Amino acid sequence: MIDISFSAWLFLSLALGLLLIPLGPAVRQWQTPRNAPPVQFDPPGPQWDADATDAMTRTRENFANLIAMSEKDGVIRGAHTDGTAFMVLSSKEHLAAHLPPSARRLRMQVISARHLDIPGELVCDRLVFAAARLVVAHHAILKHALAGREAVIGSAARIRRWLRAESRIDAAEGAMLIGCASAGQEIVLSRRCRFEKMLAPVIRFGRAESPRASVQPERLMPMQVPANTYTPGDGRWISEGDLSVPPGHSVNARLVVGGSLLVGTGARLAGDVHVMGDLIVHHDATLSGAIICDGDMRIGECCRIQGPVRVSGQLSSGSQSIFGSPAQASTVIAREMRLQEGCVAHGAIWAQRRGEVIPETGARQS
Amino acid sequence: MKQAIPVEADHPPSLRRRLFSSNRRARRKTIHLPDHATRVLQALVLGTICLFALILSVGAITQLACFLIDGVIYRFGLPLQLTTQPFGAGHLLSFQRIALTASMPPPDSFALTLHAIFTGGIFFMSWAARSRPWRSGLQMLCVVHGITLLMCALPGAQLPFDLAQHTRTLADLSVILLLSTPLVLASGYYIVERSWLNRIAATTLILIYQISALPLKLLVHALLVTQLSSATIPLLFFAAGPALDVLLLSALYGWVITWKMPDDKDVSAT
Repeated sequence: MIDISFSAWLFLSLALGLLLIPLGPAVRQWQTPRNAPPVQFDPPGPQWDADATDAMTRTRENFANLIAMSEKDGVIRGAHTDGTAFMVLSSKEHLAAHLPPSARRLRMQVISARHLDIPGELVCDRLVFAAARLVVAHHAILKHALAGREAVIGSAARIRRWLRAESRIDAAEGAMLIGCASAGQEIVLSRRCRFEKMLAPVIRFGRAESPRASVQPERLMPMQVPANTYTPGDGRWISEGDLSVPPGHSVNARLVVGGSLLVGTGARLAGDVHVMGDLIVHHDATLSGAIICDGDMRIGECCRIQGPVRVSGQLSSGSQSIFGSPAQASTVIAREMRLQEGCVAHGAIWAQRRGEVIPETGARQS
Repeated sequence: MKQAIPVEADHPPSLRRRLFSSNRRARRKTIHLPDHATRVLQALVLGTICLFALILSVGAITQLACFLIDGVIYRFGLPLQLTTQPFGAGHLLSFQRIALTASMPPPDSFALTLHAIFTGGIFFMSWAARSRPWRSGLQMLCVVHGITLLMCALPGAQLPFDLAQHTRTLADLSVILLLSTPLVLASGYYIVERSWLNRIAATTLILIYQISALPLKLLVHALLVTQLSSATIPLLFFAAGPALDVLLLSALYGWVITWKMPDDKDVSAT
């Protein structure tokens, strides 16, 4: 090592600083919390259950004549040009009567002119269509199912790809609606039901044992801008760390939170929210804007979440929380969902990995 | 395009002649270049002009760098010597190849041991880095430095490069980067950016940065090598050589493309 003077060291430091000046804007951008992106979701609609809707239309068209003929002939068996077998049942016939007693697997399409009862523990690999009511008994496994009116899914039964009912889907305890389930009016899931994608004007996750109305404070105090938050002047509050909205307060800004966000009891957030950490919403709170959460989201009881909501982690909700509204459907997407009985959603729900209806706990969720 | 006027049978000959010539002019199609083609042409022209200007002035730029380096060495009493080698004398592209030398002994075992301990420590601590690119990058640099230390530790071995070669290579690469700047800007920035003021200001800023950074960069590298040891030459080349130059230029480019003219519409969504 060759000795150099102090001024040479000074020059070295200064030269290093000057050389790294172009990194200044990049470092500043790196440290600035990201903006809340414009929230755009695919609106709940035909996109998600396109397969089921197409299949409903095609089945009705393709089998219209055969259904009419089956009223006279009873049962019609045949095959499509690609070799797929089908069976058309009249309104008076039952599927169980036309299956061997030991049959556990059905590899043909089943089309019923009216009601269709799928026996328990039967595995159906092909499309199942009921012009009126479809009843799937316990432990049966269906791949594709269509119901012209309502579908009743028994305990521990499983739908593997899609299920479409023109009016209502009722799933008993332990049923699994994997893939996409859509209904024209309502989907009702019992406790311990598992789900992935669901699309309906009303989706009820069980029924609350002790229902109560949401308690809203008479007057909400507007929250002041906290110390660790800066406001660029365009209606956003940008917080680099954690942010807490006190109980009974309201916020009319769009929030961008670099850490976690805690929304107190009865608080109201009117703007969009982008949280890079976890989002904890205490009971009786109301969030009216879009929500993007890069961590986990925990919602208390009786909250009102308008949405749309996109959670990168787990979404868990206490009882009787409501997503969306009858007037404005919403979309809720999370990697995992655990919703207590009593929750209601309007629009579309998508648990990307796993969704489950949790039995209601006795204590109030905080 | 002017509409052609139909010639009627009862038009007098003089009118017919005028109409024929007028219609012939109307039939000639006027070529309007679309907006993006205009900007591509502008980019090509500006890029070419910048490139030729740089080629003609690169000799002066390297002379200026030599002058600055000499001044700093003298002012701060640095233990460095400046050597130059002419390149392309008599040609359009001619400049001085700059190198810095220092008389320093090869690294001793104490220095090598210290380096090895430090490198090993950084390597193991890098496993704690959460970001994989940072972790892999640090570990790669540790491996490079470790191999160099091994080479220096072998009895009778000598590194195949010295400070002069290192600084000369850095200087040459900086000149190449400087000359390729107009091409890079012409292929992207000049096409996207509509404002002439922004184009010229951005080009000037980037070129001034590169020209002023050249002597500073060589001096910093040379001083670090004299202070740490010649075994750090490969490490400095990988970590703080052309890769860092490209990173800094990218950062500068990333900043200049965010410049807006006052009448530009804000198209950000939030």
